[in-house]
Amino acid sequence: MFGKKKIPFQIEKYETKLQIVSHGEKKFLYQREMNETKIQKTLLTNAEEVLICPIEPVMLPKEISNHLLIELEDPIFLQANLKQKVYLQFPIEIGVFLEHDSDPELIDVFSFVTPEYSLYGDPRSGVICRYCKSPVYYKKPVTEFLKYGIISVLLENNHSHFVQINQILFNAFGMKIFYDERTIEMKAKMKITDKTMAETDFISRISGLKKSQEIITPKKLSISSTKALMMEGL
Amino acid sequence: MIEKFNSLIQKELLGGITLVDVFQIIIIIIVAIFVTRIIRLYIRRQMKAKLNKDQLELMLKIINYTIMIIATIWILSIVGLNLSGLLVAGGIAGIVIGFASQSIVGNLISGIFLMIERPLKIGEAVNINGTIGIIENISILSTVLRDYDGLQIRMPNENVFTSKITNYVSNLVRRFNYVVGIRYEDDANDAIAIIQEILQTEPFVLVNPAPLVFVDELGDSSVNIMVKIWAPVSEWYALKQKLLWQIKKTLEEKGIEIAFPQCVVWMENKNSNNKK
Repeated sequence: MFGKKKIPFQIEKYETKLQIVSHGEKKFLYQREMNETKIQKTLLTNAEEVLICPIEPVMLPKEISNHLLIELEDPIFLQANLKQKVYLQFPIEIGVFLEHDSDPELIDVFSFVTPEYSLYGDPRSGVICRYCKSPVYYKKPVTEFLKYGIISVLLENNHSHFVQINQILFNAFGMKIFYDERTIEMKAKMKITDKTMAETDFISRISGLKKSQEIITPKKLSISSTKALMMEGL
Repeated sequence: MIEKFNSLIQKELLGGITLVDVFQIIIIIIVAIFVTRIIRLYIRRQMKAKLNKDQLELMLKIINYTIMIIATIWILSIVGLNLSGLLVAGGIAGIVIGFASQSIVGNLISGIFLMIERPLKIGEAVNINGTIGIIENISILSTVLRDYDGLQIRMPNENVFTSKITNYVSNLVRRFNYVVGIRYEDDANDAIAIIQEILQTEPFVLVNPAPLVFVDELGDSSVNIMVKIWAPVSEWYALKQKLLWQIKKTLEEKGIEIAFPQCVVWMENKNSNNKK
């Protein structure tokens, strides 16, 4: 499903039909049929290809958040000064880009997972996050491809006591998603500094996989960090 | 000819002000307006994507007032007014004007405090003393609201500052409630399970704080189920409009009816000794 496709094209997956059909010179019709929804857009372009790839899972049903919160099905107790790699699953959103002059333009986003949202922290100073509950794996799991990806998180307890980790917050500004035809992955680290405080960040390289197109990027003059600070509990 | 022209432009019009001075003042005013517009336009274009509307408006106002002050000082120096003398005179005049224009000064000071304390920002939905609307502008003397009927309401800053202000969007999330009344013969547990299932499929019904669904009251005609839902503040109203009808339809599809007000009348039948 992923990768560059020559226009016109047609894909069917999980009862979802995606196609671009020619409607005259430089005029195309983009259609997506999914469950009971049908989306149709006219494309007036001389682009010859589209790119389909996973994107940061914060765009659906509309972009209201820049954070992803993964709640662990079983909390982890991590000893002081210990590092442990864990694998979690995260929801996938798929972007369809029009390839034009090496500047891909997003024309559609869809997902095979119903999005959920949650509040991290208090209503005044917290953040609204895309929410997902995940089992904790200690070996790379096999997830439902196109629905869930795998994120490996290196947990690093720099606190002098045991800490309990119930949830992990990620900032979409720093997300680096990698993919091929069988897997979708991210790599991150979580530095725990206190019983209730931690910092998460992404590692920007996974060998052997293609890097996905980034949608959520910091503006040039913006001071948005790519890290997520967890100040309201782990 | 040149001499005549020179004498004309050097001619004193009023209190030592010559025609040259008048021209200079006019040019300063035109240049100030022109420069203000150019800078405002440039900043609006460059910063629109980088600042929110409220910050952008504040920045534009600061630029406006700065250019206005510079132009005024320049004009005063051309007119020959001594600023130190003006300050002394201004002190006395200030007291007089202060008494005469208490409400204007009150509005001005309230405006400054509104800008510092910032209980409301441009674009926010608020309720000021019973007037509900969206803040369109906060200027130094007044605050402009657009109510939900599209009417523009100008409120003096003094009134705004001393009023009870409810800001509907200052927090990230907001709760709304429904009361769903079902018949006594229907199973409330089934109804609760159906409602919870609907809420789970709605992306903007927040997982945390979790929605609450419970039997709240055994009413006169119905078992009242309370539904309390938290949603992002930007989405709550659309969600509130959508969910109630969806709950009603789904309950009815599954055989649970919304109760009507009803009254059972028992009448005595003396012949059969049965009461009905």
